[in-house]
Amino acid sequence: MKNLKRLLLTFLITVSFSNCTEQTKSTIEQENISEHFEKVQNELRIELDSKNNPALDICNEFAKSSNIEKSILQRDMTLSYEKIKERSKLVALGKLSNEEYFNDVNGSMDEHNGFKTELGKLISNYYKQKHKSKAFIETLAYEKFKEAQELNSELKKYDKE
Amino acid sequence: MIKNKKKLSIALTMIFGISFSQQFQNNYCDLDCLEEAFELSEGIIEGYGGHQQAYEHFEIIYDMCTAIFCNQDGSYSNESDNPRN
Repeated sequence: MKNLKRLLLTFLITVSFSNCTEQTKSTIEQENISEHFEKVQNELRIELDSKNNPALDICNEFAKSSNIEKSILQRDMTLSYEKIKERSKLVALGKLSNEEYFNDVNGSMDEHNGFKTELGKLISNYYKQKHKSKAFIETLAYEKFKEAQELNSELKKYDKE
Repeated sequence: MIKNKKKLSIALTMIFGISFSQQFQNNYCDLDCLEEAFELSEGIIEGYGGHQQAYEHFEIIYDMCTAIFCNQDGSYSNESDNPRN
């Protein structure tokens, strides 16, 4: 009987110890992924910031060629940005197809989509053409984006656990 | 004389400390834009779009966000503007 008790106790200690080791291992892994994720995200930011911002370039060009006040252009851009965010959220929820989204981004004159201004149309047409060519697939920024998203989904698995 | 020197060095340290911390705080605009764009594109990957479609959304949102809210050095162009608000 005593032996059985000892055996049971040893078993319990071993199990709890191995659980503890597993947990520590898992936490270390999670921390490593998290650090790597932050590093890749930062590299992505540096890569994006090292190039000209097309949206800003288009806005500056438009400001030069038109007599429209910069504050009005800024308001137009903000309006378009808010509408883009709304529509991206709908795509993420599966309520809007990517094609429908890009139809809006293409600058239709629909007054509800936020691209009714000349500037909005110029910006949206630029991105529509850019994404049609698929040239972005071969950029370092895209590679970093993919890597960061993969690390992010790995981190989410830990959160679920 | 020594007391005055001490006071001066404390005042200088405070001034540098405050300006440094302000600079540090303000240099998060592009990071906020990145997080915003990243979160939105994340939903698209999880939905059905995959990485390519998600990146298309990510790029537009990041470029527009930084164009509207950020200075070239990554700080906020207007302190009251926060893209995540």
